[in-house]
Amino acid sequence: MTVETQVALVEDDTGMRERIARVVDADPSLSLAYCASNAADILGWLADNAVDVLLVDLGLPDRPGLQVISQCRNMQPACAVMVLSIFGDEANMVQAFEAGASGYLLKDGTEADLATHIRHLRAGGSPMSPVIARKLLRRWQAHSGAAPAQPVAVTASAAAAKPAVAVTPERLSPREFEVLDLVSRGFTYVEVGVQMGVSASTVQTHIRNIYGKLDVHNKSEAVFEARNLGWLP
Amino acid sequence: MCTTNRKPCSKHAISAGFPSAIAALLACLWLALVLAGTTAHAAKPSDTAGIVGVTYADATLEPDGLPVEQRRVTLPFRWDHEFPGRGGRATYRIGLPPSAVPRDEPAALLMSGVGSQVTVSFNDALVASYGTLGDPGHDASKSNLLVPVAAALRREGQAQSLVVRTTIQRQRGAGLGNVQYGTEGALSALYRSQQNWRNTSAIVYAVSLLLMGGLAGGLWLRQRDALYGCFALAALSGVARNLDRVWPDVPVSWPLWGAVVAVCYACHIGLIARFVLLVLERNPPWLVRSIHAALALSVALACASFAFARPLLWTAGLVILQLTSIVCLPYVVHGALIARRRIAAVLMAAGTMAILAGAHDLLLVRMGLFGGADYTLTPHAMFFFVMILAGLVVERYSRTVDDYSALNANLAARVAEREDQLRAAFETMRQQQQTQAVLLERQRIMREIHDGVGSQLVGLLNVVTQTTPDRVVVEEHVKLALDEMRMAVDSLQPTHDDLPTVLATLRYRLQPRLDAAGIELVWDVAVMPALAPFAAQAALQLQRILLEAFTNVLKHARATRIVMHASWHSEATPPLVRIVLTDNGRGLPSAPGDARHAGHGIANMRSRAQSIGAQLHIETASDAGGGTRLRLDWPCALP
Repeated sequence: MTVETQVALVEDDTGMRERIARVVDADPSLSLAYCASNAADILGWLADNAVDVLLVDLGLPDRPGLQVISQCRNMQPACAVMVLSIFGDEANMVQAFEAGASGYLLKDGTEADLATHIRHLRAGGSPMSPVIARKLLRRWQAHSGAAPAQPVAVTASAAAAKPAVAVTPERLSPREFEVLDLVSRGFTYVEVGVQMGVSASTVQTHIRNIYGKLDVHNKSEAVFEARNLGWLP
Repeated sequence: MCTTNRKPCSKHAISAGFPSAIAALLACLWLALVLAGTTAHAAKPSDTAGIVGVTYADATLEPDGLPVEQRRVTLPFRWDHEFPGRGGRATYRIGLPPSAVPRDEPAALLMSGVGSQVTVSFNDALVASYGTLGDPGHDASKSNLLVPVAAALRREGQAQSLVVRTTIQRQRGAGLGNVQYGTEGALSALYRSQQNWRNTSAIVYAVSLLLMGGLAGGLWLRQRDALYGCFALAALSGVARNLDRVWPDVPVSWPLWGAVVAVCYACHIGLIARFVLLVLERNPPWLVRSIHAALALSVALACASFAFARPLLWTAGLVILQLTSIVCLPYVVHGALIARRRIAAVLMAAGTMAILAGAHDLLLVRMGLFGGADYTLTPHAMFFFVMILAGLVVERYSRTVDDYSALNANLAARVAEREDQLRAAFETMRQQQQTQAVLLERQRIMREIHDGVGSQLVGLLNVVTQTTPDRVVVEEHVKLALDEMRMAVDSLQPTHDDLPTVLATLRYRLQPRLDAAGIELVWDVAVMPALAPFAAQAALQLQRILLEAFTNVLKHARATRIVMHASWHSEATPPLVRIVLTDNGRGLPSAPGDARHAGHGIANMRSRAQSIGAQLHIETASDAGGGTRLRLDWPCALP
């Protein structure tokens, strides 16, 4: 048996918090390390404790959930962040992905699957709904329709000034575009793999890479590296 | 030079200060010139040391058609006064004092008004000739003549004999004017000053008249304003008169050229009078007619005078012009003193001067009354009108520019005002549209919830209130209610103009239930263009129809496989979306219990299809009687 996955949770709704806690406790491979009802608590706790998975509600009372995601990514780059989203809010997920989330979970009463989702996420899988795929597709098409990729220096200085503001995303490969297109038209990862002549796990890798290209933390790390190497002022 | 006395004009009056200042400046210059000129004329040579003025001559006068006369004449001698309308010959013998010029200094003669052709002999030696005697091609009387006399010719201690022989054409102002004898140095200085004044003023006036006449002519061509046309004619006809004063060799034979100059002069005076009335904008018809009549009459008299050798006729013409000018004066005075118009005051000054100058020229020069005079003033006075026109053009131009900028400002203000109105109207319309859109969307959501979740909950209530509710049926109803709820929430997603994504979302929601029921879904959704925004609502209806179809299969068909095709047919007109949903279940319902429910569901689907203009076909999928095929053709608009 492998080591239990350490899970932390921040959710202001008591009922929802208790239900999720129950589900996590019930799963033998998961262990609930900490439960918080606001951003300040969880960030204080994260400063001292390592965790494998953080579940974040976006609508926290004291601070935007996006900020919690972003700070968690800075403090614990190894921690996978999952967003607890109300149903139908997928369109707004893109911001959460940009902040560094790598998955999401719908709070629509089917939390029974939560444990599966968490395990899936730990194993490297990322869910993507057709609506999210369509949103991302449009986002990248809008950017590629504009001027070709800006030199990193320009976006880097802008990112340094206002890290939360959307920066020009890294470009997608044609395969990644194809994946997004097929997912947005309702094909499952397996079907996408069949159509593209690759395995489902390769499709999963593409999806993960697409999310990775959204994550501004990846980029600011890249900029940090570039600074260290003396490429940038 | 405000042309009206109304209050709004005061702004123009300020701007008109500029041309007035210029006019005043020009007038001062002009006065200085005239004064300088008259002092030059007035400088009596006899007052100057070393110069002797000749006061009489012994003349032999041979007028055509009259007997020869020999008599002593006083200078200046004017042939036309003695023999009006006649040509002839005249020889003047003058004795000059022996010691007027120091022995070793060069001597000279300065003569004015000698003509028409002249030879000068000093002590029987020919010293100068101007033109050929008897040949009317040259008119010496237009210039002052400086004749140097070599010292060798002078007879020491005796009176010097001067003989001036002339041939004369009628009406040419010939005779013998002033004759002065003295040192060449003193006389040539005098000569230069006289000549300068005479030539310079004539050329300046001719050029100014030509320029202003041309300018006025150009303005008339563009604007067809009678004022400019009148001035152009007046100025251009004045050019001939001024040119004639300094042009001794006119290539036109004499009496004809005399008539031309006279006609031009008549036009010049008459049209200037007309111009004054036009400037004043006071044009009483009788006066206008009188001016035209006087003009025509004086032109006719000028022609007749030169044709029939009657100088008196031209004098009469000049009198008529002078009287006409005088008649116009009261209007100018009235405008200046009663109506208090500044332009009238300026015109009054210029007009009075012109009339005085005209009277001087007519009475003293032409008729030789009151002691006579040998220089004319009218060209100088007329030059005033050139300056008036210049000021007028400047004033009108500045006023036009002011008017245009005022008009521009006015138009800009009106455009801005109109823009504001339009913007406000547009904003109001936009708000109304927004309100309307929100209202429609709210109604749609209410209907969604009522028809979907609401009806499911009502069905659930029916099941729950039975005495022994079936747990499976309750669960089924709850799941359906959840599906409806999700569908309603999905309809709020901002991507529903994209039909494949709408269909994909349906699958994303339904896939867990299909998996649980063990039904395989074969998915084939083609790439489609984005729909027009208004078609997006219809796409949601499509989603509901398909949900109903899937639900039917899940509940009743006992199928193991569903094939979903969605394709785009741009070749059809209008382009259409075709969705084909085939299952391998037990086919169209035959059991009575199921038929009721399914029939209700199908009726619902049909009404939804009808509401978006789509055609719905439901048929048995295979001949073996298995399965159902649902085909939906939806013609849809593109943005």
